[in-house]
Amino acid sequence: MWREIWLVCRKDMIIEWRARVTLVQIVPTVLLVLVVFAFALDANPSLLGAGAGGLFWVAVLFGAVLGAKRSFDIEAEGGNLDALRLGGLVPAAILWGKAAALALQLVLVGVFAAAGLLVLYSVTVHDWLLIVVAGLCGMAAFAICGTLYGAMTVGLRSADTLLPLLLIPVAAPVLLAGTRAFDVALGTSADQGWSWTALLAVVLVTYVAVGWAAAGPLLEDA
Amino acid sequence: MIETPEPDLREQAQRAGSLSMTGSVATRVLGVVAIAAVGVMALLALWISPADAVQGDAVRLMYVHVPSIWVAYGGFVLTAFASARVLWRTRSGVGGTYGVIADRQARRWDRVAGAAAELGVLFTALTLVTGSLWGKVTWGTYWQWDARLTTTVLLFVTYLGYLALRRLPAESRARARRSAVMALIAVVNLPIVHYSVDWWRTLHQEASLNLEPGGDRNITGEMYWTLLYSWATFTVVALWIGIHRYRVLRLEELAEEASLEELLAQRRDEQAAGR
Amino acid sequence: MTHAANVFSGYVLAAVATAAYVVWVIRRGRTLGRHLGIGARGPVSDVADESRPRD
Repeated sequence: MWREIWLVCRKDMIIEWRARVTLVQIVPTVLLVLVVFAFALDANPSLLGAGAGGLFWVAVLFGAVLGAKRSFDIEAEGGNLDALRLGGLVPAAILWGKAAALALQLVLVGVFAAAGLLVLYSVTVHDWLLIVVAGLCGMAAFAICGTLYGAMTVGLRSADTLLPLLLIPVAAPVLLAGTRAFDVALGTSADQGWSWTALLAVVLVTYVAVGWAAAGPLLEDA
Repeated sequence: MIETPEPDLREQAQRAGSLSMTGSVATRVLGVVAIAAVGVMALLALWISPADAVQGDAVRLMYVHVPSIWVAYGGFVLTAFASARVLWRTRSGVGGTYGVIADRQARRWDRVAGAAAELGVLFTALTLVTGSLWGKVTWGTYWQWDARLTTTVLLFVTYLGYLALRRLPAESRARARRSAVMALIAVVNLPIVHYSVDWWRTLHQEASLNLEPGGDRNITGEMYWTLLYSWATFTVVALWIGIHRYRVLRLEELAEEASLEELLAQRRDEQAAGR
Repeated sequence: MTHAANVFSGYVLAAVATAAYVVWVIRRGRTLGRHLGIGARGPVSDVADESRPRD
């Protein structure tokens, strides 16, 4: 099982390494979102600093939507998904392998977005550990959600336009908790940052459970 | 008058007359009851029941607002239950006679889920609209970032997505399974959404407004009975529409199958002509 | 806006939205039924029967 997950994950990472879609398309888009927010907020440093945590997560959420779409675009071409199934992979292995690959790519997106935050919004980090833990939990949760909904809409004609509508409401708790945790870590709020991170972990565990249950019905002779 | 190219189709349309195609004796009775109940409700809610001491006439919006969200919640619960049945039936349907029966039942539950979710979305929209109209006169603003409002609007958008997913053309079994998974994810996610939004608002908002209709004050007498009556009315109306919608979904499936068969027949004819 | 105006628009909106949905559902049923060639006394009863679970 673990080996199968690793195989699927490695396959996706190799495809990404060859095509570099995340690096040259999704990362720049996410950075662009950060720049555009500065237009919306009139490049007001105090406003940007106060909203930095939230803007980071909104930008990454857009990246996650694009990443999930991309993750299943490569499967829809030429009936790849069927080939994987015929190759004897169980649905859960496909789902978790793809989720792991998406999570890795989102971490990459997150690192760039965080760098953008530091440079463009000139924020100061008070608690690096909180940033890293909350960030990883949030990215993993986005990745699982994205993979589930990507699997749900794979091969459908208007999947591109439907995916954001499906994904954003379900990712709302992650967005909210991640924002609060980052606000604390960036020193813009005196909230309980670790409690929000704990909520992120609870959300993550829930999605893992949902993923286990949903993998079969979603990917069996889909 | 709809122009139908085939004379026999027109004849059939005339035969159908003014009767509703998805109607039966039961739905006709239910429909008459529903419409009569709505008439009585309008009388009760707009004239007979008194204005509230604090809210004034705005309290009358509650007779629409509260039953709407009740019907919407009922619809979403039914969607979740039916979706669980769909997955259950699909899993146990292995093949043979038992598989055929299981498949038929899964399709039925899928239709129940679709009809109930659509009603849920409609009545959630009514809840949001009447709620913000009520808020405008009571709080002076259409919208508050209160936990319950935020959760409701996310619920609304989630099920809009669910309906959009259902609309996409796909093989009916795969679509049923996929929609069922999404409905269950939506339900699992709901408490998380509510909890996180609740926590967010209690930490960041000093005074939380009491959104419960009538608030902590006891509502008594005519208001109480009007609310109870409206609740029953909305349930009957929703049932009536829901049954019709279920049957329309059945017709949609039949139409899909018919057009598929037509295509197959065409292909067969083409092949026969080519030979 | 006054209370009465809001109450009025709330009720009108709710009534119009629900009525529009009812009309849409019933018309769609008729259109599909005609399209399939199902008469009022034809296989519609089958359709009605389908709604009764036969577990």
